[in-house]
Amino acid sequence: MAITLKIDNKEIKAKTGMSVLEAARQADIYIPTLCHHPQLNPSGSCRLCIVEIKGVRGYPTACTIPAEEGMVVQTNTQRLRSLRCQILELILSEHPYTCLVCDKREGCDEWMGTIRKVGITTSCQTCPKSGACELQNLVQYLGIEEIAFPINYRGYPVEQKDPFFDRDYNLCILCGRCVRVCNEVRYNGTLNFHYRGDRTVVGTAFGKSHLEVGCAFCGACVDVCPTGALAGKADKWEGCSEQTQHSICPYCAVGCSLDYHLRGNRIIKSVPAQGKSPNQGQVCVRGRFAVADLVNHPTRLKKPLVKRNKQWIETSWEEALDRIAEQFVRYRGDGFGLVVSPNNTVEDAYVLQKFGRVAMQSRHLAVSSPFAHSRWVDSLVEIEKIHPPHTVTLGDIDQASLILVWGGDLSVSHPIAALRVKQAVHRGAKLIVIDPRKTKLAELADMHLQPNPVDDSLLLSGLMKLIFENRSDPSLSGPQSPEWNDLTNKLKKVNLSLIEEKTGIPRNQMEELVDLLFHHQRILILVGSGLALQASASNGLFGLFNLSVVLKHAKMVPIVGESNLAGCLEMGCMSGLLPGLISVNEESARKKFEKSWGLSIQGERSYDFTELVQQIEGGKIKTLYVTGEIPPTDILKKCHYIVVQSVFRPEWADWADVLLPAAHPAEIDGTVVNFEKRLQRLRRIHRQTGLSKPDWWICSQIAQKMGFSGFSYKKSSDILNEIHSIVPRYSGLIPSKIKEKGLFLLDFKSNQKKKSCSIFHFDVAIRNHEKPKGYPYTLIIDVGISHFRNASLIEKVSGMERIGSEGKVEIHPKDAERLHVSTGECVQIKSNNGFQFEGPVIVTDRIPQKSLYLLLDKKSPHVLECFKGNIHFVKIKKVADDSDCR
Amino acid sequence: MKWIRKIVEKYGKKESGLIPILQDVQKIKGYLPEEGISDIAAELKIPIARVYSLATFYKAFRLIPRGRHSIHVCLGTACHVRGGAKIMDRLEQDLGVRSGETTQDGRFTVESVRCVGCCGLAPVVVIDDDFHGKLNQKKVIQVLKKYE
Repeated sequence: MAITLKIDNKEIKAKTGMSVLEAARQADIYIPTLCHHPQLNPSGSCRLCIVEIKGVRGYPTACTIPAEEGMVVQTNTQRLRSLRCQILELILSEHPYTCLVCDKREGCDEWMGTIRKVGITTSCQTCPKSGACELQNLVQYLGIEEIAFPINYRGYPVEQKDPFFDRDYNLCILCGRCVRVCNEVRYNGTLNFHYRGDRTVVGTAFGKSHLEVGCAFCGACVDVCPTGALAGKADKWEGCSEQTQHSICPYCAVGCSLDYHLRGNRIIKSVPAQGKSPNQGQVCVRGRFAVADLVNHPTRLKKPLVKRNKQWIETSWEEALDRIAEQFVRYRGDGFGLVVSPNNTVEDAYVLQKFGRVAMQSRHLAVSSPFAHSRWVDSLVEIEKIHPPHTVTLGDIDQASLILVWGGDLSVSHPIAALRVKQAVHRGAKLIVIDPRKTKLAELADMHLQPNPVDDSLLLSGLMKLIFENRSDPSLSGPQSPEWNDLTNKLKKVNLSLIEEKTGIPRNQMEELVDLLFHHQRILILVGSGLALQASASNGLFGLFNLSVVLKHAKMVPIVGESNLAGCLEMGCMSGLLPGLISVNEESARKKFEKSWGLSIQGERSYDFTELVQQIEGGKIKTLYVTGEIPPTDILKKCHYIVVQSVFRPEWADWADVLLPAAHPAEIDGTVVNFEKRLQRLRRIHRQTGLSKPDWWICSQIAQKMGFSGFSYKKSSDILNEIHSIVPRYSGLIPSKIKEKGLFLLDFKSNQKKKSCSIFHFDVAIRNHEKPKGYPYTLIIDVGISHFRNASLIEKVSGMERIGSEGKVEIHPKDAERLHVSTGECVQIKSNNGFQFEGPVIVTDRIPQKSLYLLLDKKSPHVLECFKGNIHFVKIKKVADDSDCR
Repeated sequence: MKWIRKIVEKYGKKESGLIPILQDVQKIKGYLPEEGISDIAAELKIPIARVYSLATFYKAFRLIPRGRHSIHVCLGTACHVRGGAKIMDRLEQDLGVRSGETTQDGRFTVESVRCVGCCGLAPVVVIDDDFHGKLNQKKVIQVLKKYE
C-alpha cells in the first residue's frame, strides 16, 4: 500500500512498512547514518539519523521509526545539526581522529606519501580505511573541526594472529554492524558485544582467536565495517579502489556475483556484489579472500615454455604453437587424450572438445573433476532427457518448507548454498540432514539421520517402501507406468528389518522422516558430494529423483562440483557425450555436428577421467593435452608427449613437454554454468598476466597451425554464436541477453517431449557390504574443492592452510583413545583393496564410531584411486615416528 | 553436562531464561566456568558469544573462581577517615592479592565496598556474613585466622 508523507516540506510517496529513513533515501533526501546498513535490521544505536516529527516527542531515529500516512518530518534543522555534531564528537572522542580534523587534510591527497611520526592508529597514514571511511565523510558533512570532549584512547592491542583479516578495535565505534551481520545474516554467532559502558568491546567468546571459535572467515564483518577496525590482511595496504567491476567467482558451482576492486591495473580485492543473484550480497572465504591473491600470484605461468635437453626454455607463442602442432599431427587418432578443467569456461570447453574430436580424431575426452565419473554424469543426463526438470535455484531454498540435504558437507563445499539453508531454517523451514557425519548443517537440523556409510541406496529403499506401503494416499496411486509397477513390486520384497540392520537407522526414525515428507508441501532435496562419490551414486540419484516425483511437490537438485563442471559437461567434454548433452550414439544428431564441423566424429564412450589416466599405463594413451589438473602420478612419465595449459605449473612438470600460460577467469570474457544451470557471464577486468592467453585462443591456434579450418575465432562471443547455431539445445539462446543475472539453460531447452511423472529404474537389491576381517573401520572419502585448475588454494593463498582440513583423517574420540592418538598425530590407513594413506588425525565427535572421514585435496596423489568410489573398509594404526607427517 | 541440562530445562530451554540459568550455575559453581557457558549455549542452540556477552555485561556474574571466603573492606567516608585504606593495604600485602582478586590458595577474595551501614564501628571489614568493626592492621590479620 502506498502512503504519502512530508519530509523536509517535500511530498513523498512510500510503501507501508518502510522506515522514515528508507522513504527519505528513496526520495534522495540524505540523512546521515553510521549503524544503518541495507542488509541488516535497523538498530538505532548510532543516533545520527535522528529527525523531528510533528506530534512526536523528542528526536526519534529515522531508521527505526516506520513511515506513516501524513507524517511531517524535518531532517536537517539547526537543532538536529547541533545534536548530530555532539553525537559524532562523542563517538570521535573514542576514535583516533587525527586524520578526520587534521587542518592539513586538504593537501593530503597531494602529499599522500609523507611519513609522519605518529602512533600506530592515530594517523590517517596508518588507517587502512583512509579515503573510504564513513566517519571521514560524516565529519566533512557535519563540518566538525574540533572535538570538545577529552580523548579516550582505548589502547587495545591490534589482533593480527588470525588469517585473512586484522582487527584494531581502537578504531571501532561500536555501531554493531559486524555483530549483526555475523548473527542475523550469516548465523555464525562468532562476534558479539562484551562487557559494558566504556569498556564495551566487540569480540569472540572468552577473547579467543577467530580460528579457535570456528569462525568461517566469510569476511561479511569486514565488508560492513564503516571504519578501519576490520580490514583484510591482503588488501589493507593496497589503497583505495579506483573502480569496481562485476564478474563471477571462479571457485564453486554456486557462481557468486563478485565485485572486483581495482587500483590501476591491479585487482586489490573481491567483495560480494550487493543484491545480485545468486548469492544476494554474501560470499564465502574463497570468494572474498582467495581471488585477488591467485590472480596476482607471483608464480603464475607467464610465458610459453618448451623443454629442450631437460631444461625449460622460455619461448614465443609462435614457436611453442608450431612445435605442438608438429607433434600433435603425429599423434592424431586414438592415442590422444584430452583433459579439460572444470574451471574452464563454456567457450573453452566447446573449442577444446571440438579440437579433440575433430582435429585430433580422438574420443578420449574427460573433465578432471571427482564428480565427472560416468556413473554420476550418465544418470544426470538421463534424468534431464527423460524428465526435463525445472530450474531449481538458490531462491527455491528460501521458498521451501522442508529441506532435505542428502550427503556431503555443503557448508564446506558450497558455503553460500549452506547459508541459504541456514537462513531458511531460521525463518522456520524444517531441515533434515542425511549424512553419517555431524556436519555444520546437521547441528541445525530438526532431524539428522546417520546411516552407515558406503551405500545410501539402502536407506532410500527403506524410505520408499514405507512411502509406498504404509500410505494409502490417493495422490500416490497416480501414474501407472511400467516403471512404476516394477518399482512397487520390487519394494514389496524389501525386508525392512534387514535395512534397519544394514543402515543402522531404526524403523521409527524412518517413519518419522516419511511423516515429515508427507506433511510438507514445498520440499527441496539438495544432493551433496557424499552421495555423488559413492559407488552406487547413480542408483542413489535415481532413487532420490523417484522420491521427488512421488512426493509431487518436491524438487531435487545436486549441488556438487567446481565452477563450470556443469558447463563443461554441457559442452560435451566427456567421452561419448556431444555438446547439448547429446549421446554420440544418436545418429542424426551426430551427423549434424559432423556436417557443421566438416569431419567425422569418433563415437562410443571410452573412458572417464580416472580410466583415461590409467589407460596411459596400459599404453593406449600416448599424448595428453591437459588444461585441467591431474594429480601427480608416476603413470604420466609413460606418456610420449604432454602439453599442459594452465594458470600455474603442475608438480609433475618434469614429465610434460610444453607449458602454456592460460589466463585467469578475471582476465577473459566468457560464460560459465553453475549448479542451477544458470549461464553466467565472466568479464575481462584485468589485463592478461604476462603472455597468458584464453584457453580457447590457444587451442584454436594449435588447430589452425595443424591446418584445420573452423577454428578461426576472433573473440569468445564468436564461439557462443557457433554454439547457438549448431547445438540444438542452445537454439533459444541469445548471447546478448546474458546480463548480470545470467540465463537459465533449462528455460530455453529445445522441444523435448516431457513424459509426465516418469520414474527411473531403481535397484533395491541389498549388496553385501560386510566389513572384511581385519578391516574394522569404514572410510568416508570426500574431495575438497579449495582448488582452482592446477592450483591448490591451500598452497597459494596465505591463510587457507589454516582453515581447511584437507589431508587429515577425522576419528571419533573413543576410537582415538583405543589407538592412543590425539589430534595432529600421524596415522596410517590401509584398505582391503590396496589403498594406503598416511596423514594426521583430527579427533572429533562429528564422525561416528568405527568410521573415518578423509577430506582429500584434489592434488593428492590418492585422489585418482578415490574417484572410483570402491574404497570402504580400512584398518588404521598409529605411525610411531610422526616426523614425516604433514 | 547433565546438571546444566537440568538447569536449562528448568527454565523452559529458552534464551529468555538465560539470566536465571546463569545465576543458578553460578550458585552451584561459585562462578561461571568456560565449559559451563559453552554447554548452556549448546543446550539453548545459541552462539557461545551470546552467552558470554550477557555474562560479561552484568557485574553479578563472575568468570573467574572466587575464594571460599569473601572479604569486603569498607572504604566509605567514615571507614576511610578511620583508616580503612590502611587495612586494605595490609590485606593486599599479607594475602598477596589486589582488590578484586582471589588468593592463589582459593581461600579469600578481597573486594572494597562503599559503606556497609554501620559507620559507628568504622573501620569495618565484612567477611562472608560476619561484620568485624573497630579494626586495625594487626587485628584484621588475627580475624582472618578464623576462616579456613
